[in-house]
Amino acid sequence: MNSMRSKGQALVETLLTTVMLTVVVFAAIQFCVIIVNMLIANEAAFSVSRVAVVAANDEALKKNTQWAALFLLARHVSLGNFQFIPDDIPVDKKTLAACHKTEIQAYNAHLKYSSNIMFGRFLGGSRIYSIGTIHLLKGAACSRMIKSPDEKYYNKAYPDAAEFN
Amino acid sequence: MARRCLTSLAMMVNTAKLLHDRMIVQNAADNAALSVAAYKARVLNELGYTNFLIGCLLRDGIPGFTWGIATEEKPFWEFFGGIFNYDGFGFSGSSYGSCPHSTFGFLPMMFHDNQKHVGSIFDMSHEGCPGMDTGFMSSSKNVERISQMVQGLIKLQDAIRLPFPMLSTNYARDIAKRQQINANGKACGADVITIDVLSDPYHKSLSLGLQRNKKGIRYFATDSFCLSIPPNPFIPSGHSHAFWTSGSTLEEKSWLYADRDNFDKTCKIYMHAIKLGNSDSNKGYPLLGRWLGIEWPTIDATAAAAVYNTKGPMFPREESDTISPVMDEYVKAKKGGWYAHLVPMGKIVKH
Repeated sequence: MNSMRSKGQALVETLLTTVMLTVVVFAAIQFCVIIVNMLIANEAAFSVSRVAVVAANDEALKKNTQWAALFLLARHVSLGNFQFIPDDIPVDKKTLAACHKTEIQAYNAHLKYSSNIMFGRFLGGSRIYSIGTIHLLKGAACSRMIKSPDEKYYNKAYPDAAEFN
Repeated sequence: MARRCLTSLAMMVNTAKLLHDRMIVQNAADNAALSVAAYKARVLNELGYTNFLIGCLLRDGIPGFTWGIATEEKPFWEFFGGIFNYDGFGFSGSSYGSCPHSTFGFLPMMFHDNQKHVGSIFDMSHEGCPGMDTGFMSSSKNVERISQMVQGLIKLQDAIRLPFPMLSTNYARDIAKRQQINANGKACGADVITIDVLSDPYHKSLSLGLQRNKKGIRYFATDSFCLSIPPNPFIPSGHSHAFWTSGSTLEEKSWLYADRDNFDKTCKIYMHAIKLGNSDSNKGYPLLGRWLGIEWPTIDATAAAAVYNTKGPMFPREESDTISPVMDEYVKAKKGGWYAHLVPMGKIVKH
Protein backbone atom coordinates (compact mmCIF):
# COMPACT_ATOMS: atom_id res chain seq x y z
CA MET A 1 0.00 0.00 0.00
CA ASN A 2 2.83 2.37 0.95
CA SER A 3 4.66 1.40 -2.23
CA MET A 4 1.63 2.24 -4.35
CA ARG A 5 1.31 5.65 -2.60
CA SER A 6 4.99 6.38 -3.19
CA LYS A 7 4.65 5.58 -6.88
CA GLY A 8 1.68 7.95 -7.15
CA GLN A 9 3.59 10.68 -5.40
CA ALA A 10 6.56 10.25 -7.73
CA LEU A 11 4.26 10.44 -10.73
CA VAL A 12 2.68 13.66 -9.53
CA GLU A 13 6.04 15.21 -8.68
CA THR A 14 7.49 14.21 -12.04
CA LEU A 15 4.49 15.66 -13.82
CA LEU A 16 4.70 18.95 -11.95
CA THR A 17 8.46 19.18 -12.41
CA THR A 18 8.24 18.38 -16.13
CA VAL A 19 5.59 21.02 -16.70
CA MET A 20 7.61 23.64 -14.84
CA LEU A 21 10.88 22.64 -16.54
CA THR A 22 9.20 22.77 -19.93
CA VAL A 23 8.03 26.31 -19.25
CA VAL A 24 11.49 27.32 -18.01
CA VAL A 25 13.28 25.72 -20.97
CA PHE A 26 10.99 27.28 -23.56
CA ALA A 27 11.21 30.63 -21.82
CA ALA A 28 15.02 30.37 -21.93
CA ILE A 29 14.94 29.47 -25.61
CA GLN A 30 12.55 32.31 -26.32
CA PHE A 31 14.74 34.70 -24.36
CA CYS A 32 17.77 33.60 -26.40
CA VAL A 33 15.94 34.11 -29.68
CA ILE A 34 14.83 37.60 -28.64
CA ILE A 35 18.36 38.56 -27.57
CA VAL A 36 19.90 37.20 -30.77
CA ASN A 37 17.36 39.14 -32.84
CA MET A 38 18.17 42.27 -30.89
CA LEU A 39 21.89 41.80 -31.57
CA ILE A 40 21.29 41.24 -35.26
CA ALA A 41 19.13 44.37 -35.44
CA ASN A 42 21.76 46.47 -33.67
CA GLU A 43 24.47 45.15 -35.98
CA ALA A 44 22.33 46.01 -39.00
CA ALA A 45 21.63 49.53 -37.69
CA PHE A 46 25.34 50.03 -37.00
CA SER A 47 26.33 48.91 -40.48
CA VAL A 48 23.66 50.98 -42.19
CA SER A 49 24.64 54.16 -40.35
CA ARG A 50 28.30 53.38 -41.17
CA VAL A 51 27.38 53.16 -44.84
CA ALA A 52 25.30 56.34 -44.61
CA VAL A 53 28.13 58.52 -43.31
CA VAL A 54 30.41 57.60 -46.20
CA ALA A 55 27.80 57.88 -48.94
CA ALA A 56 28.82 60.56 -51.41
CA ASN A 57 25.30 61.86 -52.08
CA ASP A 58 21.64 61.24 -51.31
CA GLU A 59 21.19 58.81 -54.18
CA ALA A 60 24.22 56.76 -53.12
CA LEU A 61 23.01 56.91 -49.54
CA LYS A 62 19.64 55.39 -50.40
CA LYS A 63 21.08 52.69 -52.65
CA ASN A 64 24.06 51.71 -50.50
CA THR A 65 22.12 51.57 -47.24
CA GLN A 66 19.54 49.29 -48.85
CA TRP A 67 22.29 46.98 -50.09
CA ALA A 68 23.99 46.96 -46.71
CA ALA A 69 20.75 46.12 -44.94
CA LEU A 70 19.95 43.40 -47.45
CA PHE A 71 23.45 41.93 -47.21
CA LEU A 72 23.27 41.72 -43.44
CA LEU A 73 19.70 40.73 -42.87
CA ALA A 74 19.27 38.27 -45.74
CA ARG A 75 21.19 35.66 -43.79
CA HIS A 76 18.84 35.92 -40.83
CA VAL A 77 15.53 36.00 -42.64
CA SER A 78 13.93 32.96 -44.19
CA LEU A 79 10.52 32.56 -45.71
CA GLY A 80 9.81 29.31 -43.88
CA ASN A 81 10.74 30.52 -40.43
CA PHE A 82 9.54 33.89 -39.23
CA GLN A 83 11.86 34.24 -36.26
CA PHE A 84 13.14 37.63 -37.34
CA ILE A 85 11.10 39.96 -39.52
CA PRO A 86 12.84 43.25 -40.31
CA ASP A 87 11.00 46.35 -41.40
CA ASP A 88 12.47 49.11 -43.56
CA ILE A 89 15.58 50.90 -42.22
CA PRO A 90 14.98 54.62 -42.69
CA VAL A 91 18.05 56.83 -42.36
CA ASP A 92 17.36 60.39 -41.32
CA LYS A 93 19.71 63.31 -41.27
CA LYS A 94 19.87 65.69 -38.36
CA THR A 95 21.91 68.85 -37.98
CA LEU A 96 23.52 68.75 -34.56
CA ALA A 97 25.39 72.06 -34.57
CA ALA A 98 26.93 74.64 -36.82
CA CYS A 99 30.52 75.62 -36.21
CA HIS A 100 32.43 78.11 -38.37
CA LYS A 101 29.73 77.92 -41.05
CA THR A 102 30.13 74.14 -41.09
CA GLU A 103 27.12 72.07 -40.15
CA ILE A 104 27.70 68.86 -38.22
CA GLN A 105 25.36 66.26 -39.66
CA ALA A 106 24.33 63.13 -37.80
CA TYR A 107 22.82 60.17 -39.59
CA ASN A 108 20.39 58.04 -37.61
CA ALA A 109 19.53 54.55 -38.77
CA HIS A 110 16.34 53.12 -37.25
CA LEU A 111 15.49 49.49 -37.69
CA LYS A 112 12.10 48.25 -36.60
CA TYR A 113 11.70 44.52 -36.53
CA SER A 114 9.51 41.78 -35.13
CA SER A 115 10.44 38.58 -33.35
CA ASN A 116 8.25 35.52 -33.50
CA ILE A 117 7.37 34.45 -29.98
CA MET A 118 6.00 31.11 -28.95
CA PHE A 119 3.46 31.92 -26.27
CA GLY A 120 2.34 35.31 -27.36
CA ARG A 121 -1.27 34.45 -26.73
CA PHE A 122 -0.56 34.17 -23.03
CA LEU A 123 1.44 37.34 -22.90
CA GLY A 124 0.05 40.81 -23.05
CA GLY A 125 1.38 44.28 -23.73
CA SER A 126 1.35 46.79 -26.50
CA ARG A 127 4.52 45.41 -28.10
CA ILE A 128 2.92 42.11 -29.03
CA TYR A 129 0.64 41.77 -32.04
CA SER A 130 -0.67 38.86 -34.05
CA ILE A 131 -0.89 37.96 -37.70
CA GLY A 132 -3.09 34.89 -37.91
CA THR A 133 -1.60 32.36 -35.55
CA ILE A 134 1.80 34.05 -35.46
CA HIS A 135 2.49 36.24 -32.46
CA LEU A 136 5.11 38.90 -32.91
CA LEU A 137 7.06 41.06 -30.51
CA LYS A 138 8.01 44.52 -31.74
CA GLY A 139 11.60 45.61 -31.39
CA ALA A 140 13.75 48.52 -32.50
CA ALA A 141 17.43 49.28 -32.88
CA CYS A 142 19.13 52.49 -33.82
CA SER A 143 22.59 53.81 -34.47
CA ARG A 144 23.92 57.32 -35.02
CA MET A 145 27.13 58.45 -36.70
CA ILE A 146 28.57 61.82 -37.67
CA LYS A 147 29.34 62.57 -41.29
CA SER A 148 32.39 64.42 -42.56
CA PRO A 149 31.50 68.07 -43.26
CA ASP A 150 33.36 67.91 -46.59
CA GLU A 151 31.65 65.09 -48.39
CA LYS A 152 32.49 66.53 -51.81
CA TYR A 153 36.06 65.43 -51.12
CA TYR A 154 35.14 61.77 -50.76
CA ASN A 155 36.51 61.04 -54.22
CA LYS A 156 39.37 63.48 -54.54
CA ALA A 157 41.87 65.19 -52.28
CA TYR A 158 41.56 68.83 -53.40
CA PRO A 159 39.66 70.85 -55.99
CA ASP A 160 41.71 70.04 -59.11
CA ALA A 161 42.88 66.59 -58.08
CA ALA A 162 42.37 63.36 -59.99
CA GLU A 163 39.72 61.08 -58.49
CA PHE A 164 40.86 58.26 -56.23
CA ASN A 165 39.16 55.45 -58.12
CA MET B 1 15.25 19.15 -24.08
CA ALA B 2 18.28 19.97 -21.96
CA ARG B 3 20.39 19.83 -25.11
CA ARG B 4 18.07 22.23 -26.87
CA CYS B 5 18.11 24.62 -23.93
CA LEU B 6 21.89 24.53 -23.72
CA THR B 7 22.20 24.95 -27.48
CA SER B 8 19.99 28.02 -27.34
CA LEU B 9 22.03 29.54 -24.56
CA ALA B 10 25.26 28.76 -26.41
CA MET B 11 23.81 30.21 -29.62
CA MET B 12 22.90 33.42 -27.83
CA VAL B 13 26.35 33.82 -26.29
CA ASN B 14 28.15 32.87 -29.49
CA THR B 15 26.06 35.20 -31.63
CA ALA B 16 26.58 38.04 -29.16
CA LYS B 17 30.32 37.48 -29.18
CA LEU B 18 30.40 37.18 -32.97
CA LEU B 19 28.48 40.44 -33.52
CA HIS B 20 30.52 42.17 -30.84
CA ASP B 21 33.72 41.08 -32.57
CA ARG B 22 32.35 42.19 -35.91
CA MET B 23 31.75 45.70 -34.51
CA ILE B 24 35.17 45.72 -32.86
CA VAL B 25 36.90 44.75 -36.09
CA GLN B 26 34.95 47.31 -38.13
CA ASN B 27 35.83 50.00 -35.58
CA ALA B 28 39.45 48.84 -35.67
CA ALA B 29 39.59 49.21 -39.45
CA ASP B 30 37.82 52.61 -39.32
CA ASN B 31 40.00 54.01 -36.56
CA ALA B 32 43.22 52.67 -38.03
CA ALA B 33 42.45 54.19 -41.42
CA LEU B 34 41.35 57.49 -39.89
CA SER B 35 44.37 57.67 -37.59
CA VAL B 36 46.81 57.06 -40.43
CA ALA B 37 44.99 59.68 -42.50
CA ALA B 38 45.11 62.19 -39.62
CA TYR B 39 48.82 61.52 -39.20
CA LYS B 40 49.33 61.95 -42.92
CA ALA B 41 47.41 65.25 -42.85
CA ARG B 42 49.65 66.55 -40.06
CA VAL B 43 52.76 65.47 -41.93
CA LEU B 44 51.57 67.20 -45.10
CA ASN B 45 50.80 70.39 -43.15
CA GLU B 46 54.27 70.36 -41.57
CA LEU B 47 56.01 69.63 -44.85
CA GLY B 48 53.98 72.29 -46.63
CA TYR B 49 55.03 74.90 -44.10
CA THR B 50 58.70 73.92 -44.18
CA ASN B 51 58.51 74.01 -47.96
CA PHE B 52 57.20 77.55 -47.66
CA LEU B 53 60.06 78.43 -45.31
CA ILE B 54 62.56 77.19 -47.89
CA GLY B 55 60.83 79.37 -50.43
CA CYS B 56 60.94 82.35 -48.05
CA LEU B 57 64.65 81.88 -47.49
CA LEU B 58 65.40 81.68 -51.18
CA ARG B 59 63.20 84.59 -52.07
CA ASP B 60 63.64 86.96 -49.18
CA GLY B 61 66.94 85.94 -47.69
CA ILE B 62 67.55 85.71 -43.96
CA PRO B 63 64.55 86.95 -41.95
CA GLY B 64 65.49 89.96 -39.89
CA PHE B 65 68.56 90.73 -41.88
CA THR B 66 66.82 91.26 -45.13
CA TRP B 67 63.86 93.25 -46.17
CA GLY B 68 61.43 90.59 -47.15
CA ILE B 69 59.39 92.88 -49.32
CA ALA B 70 60.75 91.60 -52.56
CA THR B 71 58.48 89.99 -55.01
CA GLU B 72 59.31 88.50 -58.33
CA GLU B 73 57.69 91.39 -60.08
CA LYS B 74 59.33 93.98 -57.89
CA PRO B 75 62.59 92.95 -56.21
CA PHE B 76 63.39 94.93 -53.10
CA TRP B 77 66.34 96.29 -54.96
CA GLU B 78 63.97 98.78 -56.44
CA PHE B 79 62.71 99.76 -53.01
CA PHE B 80 66.17 100.48 -51.89
CA GLY B 81 67.43 103.11 -54.18
CA GLY B 82 68.16 100.78 -57.03
CA ILE B 83 67.71 102.34 -60.39
CA PHE B 84 68.70 99.50 -62.63
CA ASN B 85 68.77 95.77 -62.28
CA TYR B 86 68.73 92.63 -64.30
CA ASP B 87 69.83 89.08 -63.73
CA GLY B 88 73.32 89.10 -62.39
CA PHE B 89 73.96 92.80 -62.30
CA GLY B 90 72.77 95.65 -60.14
CA PHE B 91 73.49 99.28 -59.62
CA SER B 92 72.68 101.69 -56.82
CA GLY B 93 73.72 105.14 -55.81
CA SER B 94 73.31 107.89 -53.28
CA SER B 95 74.78 111.22 -52.36
CA TYR B 96 78.37 111.41 -51.28
CA GLY B 97 78.92 110.26 -47.68
CA SER B 98 75.44 108.87 -47.18
CA CYS B 99 75.67 105.36 -48.62
CA PRO B 100 72.80 103.22 -47.32
CA HIS B 101 75.17 100.27 -47.37
CA SER B 102 77.21 102.02 -44.70
CA THR B 103 74.16 103.25 -42.83
CA PHE B 104 72.73 99.78 -42.30
CA GLY B 105 76.02 97.95 -42.07
CA PHE B 106 74.72 95.21 -44.28
CA LEU B 107 72.50 94.91 -47.25
CA PRO B 108 70.03 92.29 -48.19
CA MET B 109 70.55 89.64 -50.77
CA MET B 110 68.66 89.78 -53.92
CA PHE B 111 66.85 86.95 -55.52
CA HIS B 112 66.31 86.73 -59.21
CA ASP B 113 63.99 83.98 -60.20
CA ASN B 114 65.22 81.80 -63.02
CA GLN B 115 68.64 83.26 -63.36
CA LYS B 116 70.28 79.88 -63.39
CA HIS B 117 68.84 76.58 -62.22
CA VAL B 118 66.19 77.25 -59.61
CA GLY B 119 67.35 80.74 -58.85
CA SER B 120 70.17 82.73 -57.49
CA ILE B 121 70.95 84.69 -54.42
CA PHE B 122 72.61 87.97 -55.17
CA ASP B 123 74.57 88.69 -52.02
CA MET B 124 74.95 92.40 -51.51
CA SER B 125 76.14 92.33 -47.97
CA HIS B 126 79.63 93.65 -47.60
CA GLU B 127 82.41 93.57 -45.18
CA GLY B 128 81.76 97.26 -44.88
CA CYS B 129 81.34 99.92 -47.45
CA PRO B 130 84.48 101.97 -47.80
CA GLY B 131 82.28 105.00 -47.46
CA MET B 132 83.93 107.89 -49.17
CA ASP B 133 86.59 105.73 -50.80
CA THR B 134 86.62 103.87 -54.07
CA GLY B 135 87.37 100.17 -54.48
CA PHE B 136 86.37 96.53 -55.09
CA MET B 137 84.54 94.32 -52.57
CA SER B 138 83.37 90.73 -52.48
CA SER B 139 80.85 88.95 -50.28
CA SER B 140 79.34 85.49 -49.88
CA LYS B 141 78.62 85.23 -46.15
CA ASN B 142 74.89 85.66 -46.29
CA VAL B 143 74.35 83.24 -49.13
CA GLU B 144 76.32 80.68 -47.17
CA ARG B 145 73.98 81.21 -44.22
CA ILE B 146 70.97 80.85 -46.45
CA SER B 147 72.38 77.68 -47.96
CA GLN B 148 72.96 76.23 -44.48
CA MET B 149 69.42 77.06 -43.38
CA VAL B 150 67.89 75.58 -46.53
CA GLN B 151 69.89 72.39 -46.02
CA GLY B 152 68.72 72.32 -42.40
CA LEU B 153 65.10 72.59 -43.48
CA ILE B 154 65.61 69.83 -46.05
CA LYS B 155 66.97 67.57 -43.30
CA LEU B 156 64.01 68.47 -41.11
CA GLN B 157 61.61 67.57 -43.93
CA ASP B 158 63.38 64.24 -44.44
CA ALA B 159 63.20 63.52 -40.71
CA ILE B 160 59.43 64.07 -40.87
CA ARG B 161 58.60 62.29 -44.12
CA LEU B 162 60.97 59.34 -44.36
CA PRO B 163 59.70 57.50 -41.24
CA PHE B 164 56.07 57.99 -42.35
CA PRO B 165 55.48 54.48 -43.75
CA MET B 166 56.93 52.77 -40.68
CA LEU B 167 55.28 55.03 -38.12
CA SER B 168 51.88 54.96 -39.80
CA THR B 169 52.00 51.15 -39.90
CA ASN B 170 52.83 51.08 -36.19
CA TYR B 171 50.04 53.53 -35.36
CA ALA B 172 47.53 51.51 -37.34
CA ARG B 173 48.56 48.27 -35.64
CA ASP B 174 48.45 49.74 -32.13
CA ILE B 175 45.13 51.46 -32.66
CA ALA B 176 43.53 48.37 -34.17
CA LYS B 177 44.79 46.28 -31.26
CA ARG B 178 43.54 48.73 -28.64
CA GLN B 179 39.94 48.52 -29.80
CA GLN B 180 39.34 45.91 -27.13
CA ILE B 181 40.95 45.59 -23.71
CA ASN B 182 40.53 42.38 -21.71
CA ALA B 183 40.14 42.03 -17.95
CA ASN B 184 43.93 41.91 -17.50
CA GLY B 185 44.31 45.21 -19.31
CA LYS B 186 45.80 43.57 -22.37
CA ALA B 187 44.88 44.92 -25.80
CA CYS B 188 43.06 42.23 -27.78
CA GLY B 189 41.30 43.97 -30.65
CA ALA B 190 42.15 43.20 -34.26
CA ASP B 191 45.10 40.82 -34.59
CA VAL B 192 46.24 41.92 -38.03
CA ILE B 193 45.93 45.28 -39.76
CA THR B 194 47.19 45.63 -43.29
CA ILE B 195 46.76 47.77 -46.33
CA ASP B 196 43.83 46.33 -48.25
CA VAL B 197 45.69 44.69 -51.13
CA LEU B 198 42.63 44.40 -53.34
CA SER B 199 42.15 48.18 -53.38
CA ASP B 200 45.77 49.23 -53.06
CA PRO B 201 48.02 46.46 -54.40
CA TYR B 202 51.15 48.65 -54.52
CA HIS B 203 50.68 50.06 -50.99
CA LYS B 204 50.57 53.62 -52.26
CA SER B 205 48.64 54.51 -49.10
CA LEU B 206 51.89 54.39 -47.18
CA SER B 207 53.57 56.87 -49.47
CA LEU B 208 53.26 60.63 -49.26
CA GLY B 209 53.63 60.99 -53.03
CA LEU B 210 56.15 63.81 -52.58
CA GLN B 211 59.42 64.08 -54.47
CA ARG B 212 62.46 66.22 -53.85
CA ASN B 213 63.06 68.89 -56.48
CA LYS B 214 66.52 68.14 -57.84
CA LYS B 215 67.06 70.92 -60.30
CA GLY B 216 69.37 72.48 -57.78
CA ILE B 217 69.93 75.88 -56.23
CA ARG B 218 72.91 77.95 -57.26
CA TYR B 219 74.21 80.34 -54.62
CA PHE B 220 76.24 83.23 -55.98
CA ALA B 221 78.83 85.33 -54.26
CA THR B 222 78.80 88.97 -55.22
CA ASP B 223 81.54 91.28 -56.35
CA SER B 224 81.05 94.97 -56.10
CA PHE B 225 82.80 98.10 -57.21
CA CYS B 226 82.26 101.24 -55.16
CA LEU B 227 82.93 104.64 -56.67
CA SER B 228 82.99 107.84 -54.62
CA ILE B 229 83.09 111.26 -56.15
CA PRO B 230 84.10 113.77 -53.52
CA PRO B 231 82.37 117.19 -53.37
CA ASN B 232 83.99 119.93 -55.38
CA PRO B 233 82.74 123.17 -56.83
CA PHE B 234 82.41 121.84 -60.40
CA ILE B 235 81.06 118.24 -60.39
CA PRO B 236 77.95 117.06 -58.41
CA SER B 237 79.16 114.73 -55.69
CA GLY B 238 78.05 111.10 -55.54
CA HIS B 239 78.64 107.61 -54.21
CA SER B 240 77.57 104.51 -56.11
CA HIS B 241 77.90 100.74 -56.20
CA ALA B 242 77.85 98.29 -59.07
CA PHE B 243 77.25 94.62 -58.30
CA TRP B 244 77.76 91.47 -60.29
CA THR B 245 77.76 87.80 -59.52
CA SER B 246 80.98 85.90 -59.15
CA GLY B 247 81.72 82.36 -57.98
CA SER B 248 78.80 80.09 -57.16
CA THR B 249 78.05 76.88 -55.31
CA LEU B 250 75.38 74.42 -56.38
CA GLU B 251 73.16 72.47 -53.97
CA GLU B 252 71.29 69.69 -55.69
CA LYS B 253 68.32 69.31 -53.33
CA SER B 254 65.65 71.87 -52.69
CA TRP B 255 61.90 71.87 -51.92
CA LEU B 256 59.37 69.09 -52.21
CA TYR B 257 56.84 68.83 -55.01
CA ALA B 258 53.73 66.69 -55.31
CA ASP B 259 54.41 64.08 -57.93
CA ARG B 260 51.55 64.52 -60.39
CA ASP B 261 51.25 60.80 -61.16
CA ASN B 262 51.22 59.52 -57.60
CA PHE B 263 50.23 62.22 -55.16
CA ASP B 264 46.47 62.26 -55.85
CA LYS B 265 46.21 58.50 -55.51
CA THR B 266 48.22 58.28 -52.31
CA CYS B 267 45.78 60.52 -50.46
CA LYS B 268 43.39 57.62 -49.86
CA ILE B 269 44.25 54.96 -47.29
CA TYR B 270 42.73 51.49 -47.38
CA MET B 271 42.86 49.33 -44.26
CA HIS B 272 41.96 45.72 -43.69
CA ALA B 273 41.53 44.56 -40.08
CA ILE B 274 41.44 40.86 -39.20
CA LYS B 275 40.59 39.08 -35.97
CA LEU B 276 41.77 35.52 -36.20
CA GLY B 277 39.67 32.60 -35.11
CA ASN B 278 42.42 31.39 -32.77
CA SER B 279 43.00 34.83 -31.26
CA ASP B 280 43.71 35.00 -27.54
CA SER B 281 40.40 36.73 -26.88
CA ASN B 282 38.55 33.87 -28.61
CA LYS B 283 39.76 31.20 -26.22
CA GLY B 284 36.79 29.18 -25.01
CA TYR B 285 34.68 30.17 -28.00
CA PRO B 286 32.50 29.06 -29.57
CA LEU B 287 30.64 27.96 -26.47
CA LEU B 288 29.93 24.23 -26.70
CA GLY B 289 31.88 24.29 -29.95
CA ARG B 290 33.15 20.73 -29.72
CA TRP B 291 29.76 19.42 -28.78
CA LEU B 292 28.04 21.28 -31.60
CA GLY B 293 30.91 20.69 -34.04
CA ILE B 294 31.57 24.35 -34.91
CA GLU B 295 34.72 26.46 -35.00
CA TRP B 296 35.17 30.15 -34.39
CA PRO B 297 35.53 32.04 -37.68
CA THR B 298 38.09 34.64 -38.70
CA ILE B 299 36.42 38.04 -38.85
CA ASP B 300 37.60 40.84 -41.09
CA ALA B 301 36.53 44.32 -42.11
CA THR B 302 37.78 47.01 -44.44
CA ALA B 303 37.70 50.78 -44.26
CA ALA B 304 39.06 53.74 -46.18
CA ALA B 305 40.03 57.22 -45.09
CA ALA B 306 41.50 60.09 -47.03
CA VAL B 307 43.30 63.36 -46.52
CA TYR B 308 41.86 66.42 -48.19
CA ASN B 309 42.46 70.11 -48.54
CA THR B 310 39.62 72.30 -49.74
CA LYS B 311 41.93 74.94 -51.21
CA GLY B 312 44.70 73.09 -53.02
CA PRO B 313 47.56 70.63 -52.75
CA MET B 314 49.95 73.01 -50.87
CA PHE B 315 52.89 71.74 -52.94
CA PRO B 316 53.96 72.56 -56.50
CA ARG B 317 52.68 69.89 -58.88
CA GLU B 318 55.86 69.25 -60.82
CA GLU B 319 59.59 69.65 -60.70
CA SER B 320 60.50 73.16 -61.74
CA ASP B 321 63.26 75.71 -61.72
CA THR B 322 61.19 78.54 -60.30
CA ILE B 323 60.44 79.38 -56.71
CA SER B 324 57.08 81.01 -57.30
CA PRO B 325 54.93 77.81 -57.39
CA VAL B 326 56.24 76.83 -53.95
CA MET B 327 55.11 80.13 -52.47
CA ASP B 328 51.88 80.38 -54.44
CA GLU B 329 50.67 76.86 -53.68
CA TYR B 330 51.27 77.25 -49.97
CA VAL B 331 49.60 80.66 -49.75
CA LYS B 332 46.61 79.31 -51.68
CA ALA B 333 46.23 76.11 -49.65
CA LYS B 334 47.12 77.17 -46.12
CA LYS B 335 43.61 78.46 -45.36
CA GLY B 336 42.22 75.06 -46.14
CA GLY B 337 44.87 72.94 -44.49
CA TRP B 338 45.02 69.16 -44.71
CA TYR B 339 42.31 67.25 -42.86
CA ALA B 340 41.27 63.62 -42.69
CA HIS B 341 37.91 61.89 -42.95
CA LEU B 342 36.39 58.48 -43.57
CA VAL B 343 35.48 57.87 -47.20
CA PRO B 344 33.75 55.06 -49.10
CA MET B 345 35.94 52.13 -50.06
CA GLY B 346 34.68 52.35 -53.62
CA LYS B 347 34.80 49.77 -56.39
CA ILE B 348 33.22 46.51 -55.21
CA VAL B 349 32.74 47.41 -51.56
CA LYS B 350 30.53 50.47 -51.37
CA HIS B 351 31.24 51.55 -47.84
